[in-house]
Amino acid sequence: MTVQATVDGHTIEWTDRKRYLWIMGAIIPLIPVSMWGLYALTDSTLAWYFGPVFVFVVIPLFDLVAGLDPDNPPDEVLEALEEDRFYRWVTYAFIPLQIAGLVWGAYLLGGGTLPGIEDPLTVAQKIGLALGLGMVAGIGINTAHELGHKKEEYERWFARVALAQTFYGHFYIEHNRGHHVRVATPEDPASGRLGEVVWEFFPRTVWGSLTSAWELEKKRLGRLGKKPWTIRNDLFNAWMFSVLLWGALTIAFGIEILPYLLIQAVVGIWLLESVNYLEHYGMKRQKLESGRYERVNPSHSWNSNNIGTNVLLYHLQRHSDHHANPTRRYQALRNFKEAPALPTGYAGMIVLTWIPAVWRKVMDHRVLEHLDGDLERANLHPRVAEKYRRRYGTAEKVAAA
Amino acid sequence: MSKFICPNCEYVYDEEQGHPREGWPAGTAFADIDPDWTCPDCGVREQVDFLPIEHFVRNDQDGPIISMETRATDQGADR
Repeated sequence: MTVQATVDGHTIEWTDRKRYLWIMGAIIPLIPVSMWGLYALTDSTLAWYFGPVFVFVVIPLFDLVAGLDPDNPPDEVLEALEEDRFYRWVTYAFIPLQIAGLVWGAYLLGGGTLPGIEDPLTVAQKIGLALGLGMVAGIGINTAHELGHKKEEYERWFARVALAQTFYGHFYIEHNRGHHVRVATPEDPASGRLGEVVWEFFPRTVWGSLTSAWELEKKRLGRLGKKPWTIRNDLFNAWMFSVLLWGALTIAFGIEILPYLLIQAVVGIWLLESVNYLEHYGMKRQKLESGRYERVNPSHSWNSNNIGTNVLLYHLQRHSDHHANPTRRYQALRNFKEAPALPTGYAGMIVLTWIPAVWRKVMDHRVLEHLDGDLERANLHPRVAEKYRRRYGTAEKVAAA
Repeated sequence: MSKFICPNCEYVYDEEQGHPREGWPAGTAFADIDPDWTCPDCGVREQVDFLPIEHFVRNDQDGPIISMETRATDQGADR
């Protein structure tokens, strides 16, 4: 299908080759259900571990084979492309499928049986299923991310629904009002620092994002002359969806599903925060004389044009354009030639974070090359600052921050 | 009563209506709003970045980015 725009009497046409591929993103929630077929065919417990295999093996391999997609829509058609309703319906469709997949999973976690699943699942099988539900939960946070940035109030409510599965409703507040404001600064809990190990990043980002979201809402409600303990607090009304969802599932399928609900939520949060870790790893905005940070620009985010992960994550990897223009819809996000690029897609990069030595080997020299070798322009983790200065030199340059 | 616009996402603050949800009741002068108040829609521009609507020509979404790649001159998006 072709998008058209008329400028100065000239008609410009552009065909979106990814148009129907975006539907792939919406069927991700059906991955856990696909395990049903796999299990019925193979009768193997391993079938229940298909979720992590899909995200950490199938997608990264696909990215390596399928290559890059640097295609940009011409500027002239951007507006028409954003207005095309098809694209937003693809994101809306994710949510009912996400809830349906979770209900289906909870039924099995509660000991349910189905044709092809004659006996209730064993504990090992249930853990695999919970990991698979967690993969969907994490990708659901990405869908919530796309919706939460939009100006339409109903899309912001959809975002809260998509976050219900992970109990991460505060993400939508903190991400838009906190992370986007302070991105690539030492003050941002959700920007990974050079030399920071992913495992120490997790507690910093999870706790820092929660407290920041609370402070943001406290400040807003304070201006209204209200205390933060009210349902008008967006944290509480977002978490309410989780209470309803988890409560309904527990009542329907029994209290024994709670540990598995917890596992899938932690896995989903871990996926999201892994992406947070790598998206701005080592990047730092410089402070201006006015005391403000320079405006975020394309050099402050890591991008990837790997088409597999891009289709699954609604162009999240065109991250420089996203930070420059947060309200822009995913289909219109552009690739910037000069923005720093990761060696592969986010899915494959997450695998590298698991072994910090490998991560450093792949990423640290890329950060330094991007900063023309000037360590002091990096968002350097205080714990390793001295070690890095000894290794990469220039200790006498005083950090601007 | 005047209107002020976010140069990135084109959100408009209308002094007449204020933004009660954000804590600015109807009639709040734009000058009385915290300088570090962020745009309620995009979050990447602050009160001090907003323009009186009559000074607004086009948004800065292409600003420093497109200029880097396809345009010779900067659109003046940096402060």
